[in-house]
This record gives sequence, C-alpha cells and structure tokens, in this order.
Amino acid sequence: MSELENLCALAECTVARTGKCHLGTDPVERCPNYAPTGTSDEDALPKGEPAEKTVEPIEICSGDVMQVGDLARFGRAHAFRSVALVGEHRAGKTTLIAAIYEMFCKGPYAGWNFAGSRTLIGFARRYHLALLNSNRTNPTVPRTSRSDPASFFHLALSRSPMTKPMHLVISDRSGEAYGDARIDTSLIKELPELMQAQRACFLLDAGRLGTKEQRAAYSRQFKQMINAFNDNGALVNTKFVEVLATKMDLPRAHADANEQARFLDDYELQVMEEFRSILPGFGFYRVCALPKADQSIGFLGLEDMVRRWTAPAALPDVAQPPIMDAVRQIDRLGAKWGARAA
Amino acid sequence: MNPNRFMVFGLQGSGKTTFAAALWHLVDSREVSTALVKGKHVGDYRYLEKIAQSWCEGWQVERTKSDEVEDVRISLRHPGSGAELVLEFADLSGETLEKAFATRLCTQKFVDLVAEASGLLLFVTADKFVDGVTILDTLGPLGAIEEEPEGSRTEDTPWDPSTTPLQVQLVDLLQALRREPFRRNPFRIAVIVSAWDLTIETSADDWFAKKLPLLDQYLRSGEGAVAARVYGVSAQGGPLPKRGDTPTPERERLLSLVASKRIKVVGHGACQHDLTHPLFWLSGLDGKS
Repeated sequence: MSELENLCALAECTVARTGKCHLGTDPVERCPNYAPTGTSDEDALPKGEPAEKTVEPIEICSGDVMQVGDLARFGRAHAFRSVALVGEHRAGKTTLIAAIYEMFCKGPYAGWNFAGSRTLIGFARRYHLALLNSNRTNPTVPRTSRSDPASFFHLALSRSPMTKPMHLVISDRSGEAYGDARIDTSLIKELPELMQAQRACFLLDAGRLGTKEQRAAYSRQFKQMINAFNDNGALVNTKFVEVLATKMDLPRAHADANEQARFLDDYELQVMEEFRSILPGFGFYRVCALPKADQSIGFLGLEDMVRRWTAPAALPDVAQPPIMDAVRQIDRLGAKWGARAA
Repeated sequence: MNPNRFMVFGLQGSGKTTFAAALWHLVDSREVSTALVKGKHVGDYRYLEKIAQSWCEGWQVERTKSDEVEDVRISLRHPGSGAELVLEFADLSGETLEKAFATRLCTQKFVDLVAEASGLLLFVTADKFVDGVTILDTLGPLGAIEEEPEGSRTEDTPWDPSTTPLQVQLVDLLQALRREPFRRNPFRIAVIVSAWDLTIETSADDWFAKKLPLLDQYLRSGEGAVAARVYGVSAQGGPLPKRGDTPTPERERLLSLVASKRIKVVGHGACQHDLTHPLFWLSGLDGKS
C-alpha cells in the first residue's frame, strides 16, 4: 500500500494516515496539494528510463451520511422506514441519533440486532465527543451546521439471520433551518425530508421548557412549529406524528423539579388536546438520550421509541367497500346480506 | 476465484504475525496432528522463517512494519480430500486497513485480493482490551455533569478516525467489501481472538459478544457473513519477553514444552493446538455450516 503514502505533496502532511489535511482543508480532495499526480523527482528521471508506474488509489464507499440524492438511490433498491427529526437549535436531534447508534454498539437493542449501516462513519463522527478518548469531561455531539443540507442516517436491523433486515432511515438537519421555516413558511418546501417521512418527530427541549424565563415563548413557538408544518402540507405523507420531550434529565436535576414536572404534564395535556384529532397517530413521549445531569434516569424512553419506529406496519385494508345505492336489485340484496353477516 | 483461498483481515497489533509464525512452525514441523497439513514448499519463505525462528526461541514475535514484507502466503492441504488451500497474509502490518478506514482509499492489489478470496480470517486481540468507553460509562450510576451554558462551548475537536472504536472500524471495513469497488457476496468468516491466554473467559463466543457486540451482531445477522465462528487462540502460549529482555520463568516453562504444544486453540471442537481448524472450517471441507 506504499502508493498511499504520497497522497499529499507536503511532506509533513499525515493525510494518508489520519485522513485529515495538514492545512485543514475539508474535504481533503479540495486541497491543491492532495493526491499529486507526479513529483518533482519524477521529472528528474533521466530520459529513456521508464518512469515508475503510478497506481491510482481506489475509492471505497464513504460511509458518511446520505444526502437526498443518495437516499433516492437507496430507496430504489430497498424499502425503508423514514423518520424525520424536527426541532429548534439544541433540541437534541443529533444526540438522539447518536444515542441509538451507541445502544447498538453495546448490544442488541429493542428486540433488534444490528445488521449494518450505510452511514457508520456518519454515526462515528457524531458520537466521537462522547467517548472517553475524546479527552473531554463533558460528553456532547458536534453541532449540525446551518449550511448543511438534510442528512440521513441508516440502520439495517434484523430479528434473525434468516429474515431480511428492516431499513430505518433517520433525517437530521440544523435546528436553525427549522426555526427559520417556522417563521417564514415559504422555506418549508425546502425541507424535503419531511415530505418523504413516514413519521415526523417534533423534539421538545424539556430543559428549555423548565426555564421560567424561556418557557412562555418556547412553548408557544413549539406548537407554532407543528402548526406551520401541518398547515403548509409538510406532514401530508406522514402516518405518525409524535412529540419527543428530550433532555428529561434536566428538569429532574433542577432545584424546583416538582414545579417543572407539573408544567410539563400540563403542557403535554395541552399539546395532546390540540393535535390529537388533527394529526395522524399523534403521541407525546419523554426521552433522555444523554443522561448527563442525572445518570439515574438512564436512557429514558429510548428503547420504546425505537420499538415504535420499527413496529410492523399495519396491514392494508383489502376488504371490498360496501355498495351504496346499487342500481341492480341483486346488488342491493347482496349489500343487505353483507351488512347482516357483519 | 480459488475456492480455498483465504485472506487475513485485522488492524495493527491484532496478532496476525504471531499466528503466521506459529502456524508455519506447526505445519512445517508436524509435531502434532492437525486438520490441514503443509502444502507444497514453493516460494519465498524468508520472512516466515525469520518470525518462526523468533517464535521457536521463545521471544515475542515483533510486529510487522509495513515496509518490511510484501506478501506472506502459506499453502495447506487437506489430507483426506487432497484439496489445496492458501492463506494470504497480504497486510500483515494491518496498516492497509487502517489507512483505508481513515482515507477511504485502497489499492487495486487489495481489491484483487478480496475478489480472489473465498473466506476470511478476522483477527482481534484480547490483550488490553478497552473499546468504545464513553464519558458517561466512567461516571457511575449516580454521577452527574453540569450542562454547558449556551455560548460557552468551545470549538469541537475534529473527528480523528483512529479514535473510532475498533469494532466500528472493522464493521465499516467489512461492509465496504459488499459495495463498490469490491461488490463481494458475504463469505465465511472465522474470528481469531488472539492472546486468548490473557482472558478469564472460557468461551470465545461469549467473549466476542461481550467485548465487540456491534461486530458480533453484524457477523451473525447474515448480512456480514454467510456464517461466522469465533476461536480463542494463544499462538504464543503465554506472555513472552521481547528478544533481548530478561528471560522470564514463564518463557522457561513454555520452552520446556514441545513447541507446537505451546499453542492453545479454543472453540468449535478444535483440537487443543490445531491452528488449522479455523481454516478447515472456512474451506467447508468439514461439511458443517
């Protein structure tokens, strides 16, 4: 593999070993010194001497997150479940995704075995700041950039080696983009991940909701976001809409934990009342994907959430619709018999 | 594709070189009976001889440096059927895989090797095994960390591929074999847990499921391999000093044994010292799945 050692014209660059550009260019392919096609030493070869054959390194799959185009290609070959995570900045979307990855890193989870992921590198990139070898004392996930398009994480999950895996795809995007779309609804059409999602999850930051200073505006804006997406047709294809109250460790660790819990209970009732009848399969759930403030709470609600997301789809109703006001007498009679039998 | 050509797959320090040295001595010396025997002695065996010499003398076999050796190949034969098998140690240093993980690039030679392989010997080590420990894991059930106030957060450290948990790296690389440019159908994979003498587990399967659960799930899902087995292997037989270090009583003990009997193999009915058993299974000659 010696040909990989000359990936960069700069002698001090360790890109071949670490994958990182010495000059900080990302992606590394944009660096002008990357993957030199020849070196000055080659020019110095005496004429007539055959130059050493340069073997181009071969690219392997990136393993990073999928973009909309990648997902379309993936969808042509595989049926998949699609979940869109929607929420304001720092609501915990990426943390939730990283936590699901962590759970499978520790063993079978929610009745499923890990059977592969097209986006394992994407997961690893989101999770590295939670590892002990990150030299941090406070686990976190990297911030999702506002300029990044929607990204999709993939998990193939199987019940047994004999069955085909189920493909779960979870979308992630910066909270600012969703915040902007709430205020200016013309931006909603630029969020394709919602249109193709079978399940939309609105993430409610329980930590923010517990802060007296922020709760009034935040609780209003949260409901406004659901309404904005629903009123502008972004949820038209979703079969399930759920609210996930995240960071449930924060209210518990707070001095006025009881008051915060009461407020959250009341707010849950309000939200259920307001959306239960207008949104399909609506539910309100509490989760904790990174129990930093109170470890005793554990990964609350995460396993149930994965079970919900991966539950077998209801079988389609294939019964013949009843005949109403049939023209022929025989059909009217048939309808009567059918109704009596039912 | 040769139906009995197997490749070795493992990151640096996973025990491939010691395995190669011990296997070479085992089949060359014929001190104990094995499922497979040595095939034709044709080729350049300088490197194998060098590491086998070190192994025989009771010294730690030194880790292979990437520029030290190109290819190591051991030919084997099944005495019952006469079938010939080849074990290719094309990346004895393990650097090819580590670079491929970090840079997402590999060589045509590696692509060809994968195309020609019909099974895979995957190496992990039980030595100093700590993988993917999180900050929360170290806190304990009653621990707590204060939330970082908004705006106080410093620039995130960029992701360094080399800090990725070993099991994630291995799953990613094995998955890559299923996609372009390899496009390999899954094959049999025999996992070798090297330095097995350092564990207190009795079952290699249990150790593997406990220590590398993501990789274990992947291999058993049917997506990563048509079948997978885990063997615990101590190719040295115990801890050995580096050449030049003070000899230890354990080395003396091991040297007093018939050299091939230093080897310990655990799992799936393998005879106690038979390093060829995983290869015998990979070949399918045992008729078992």
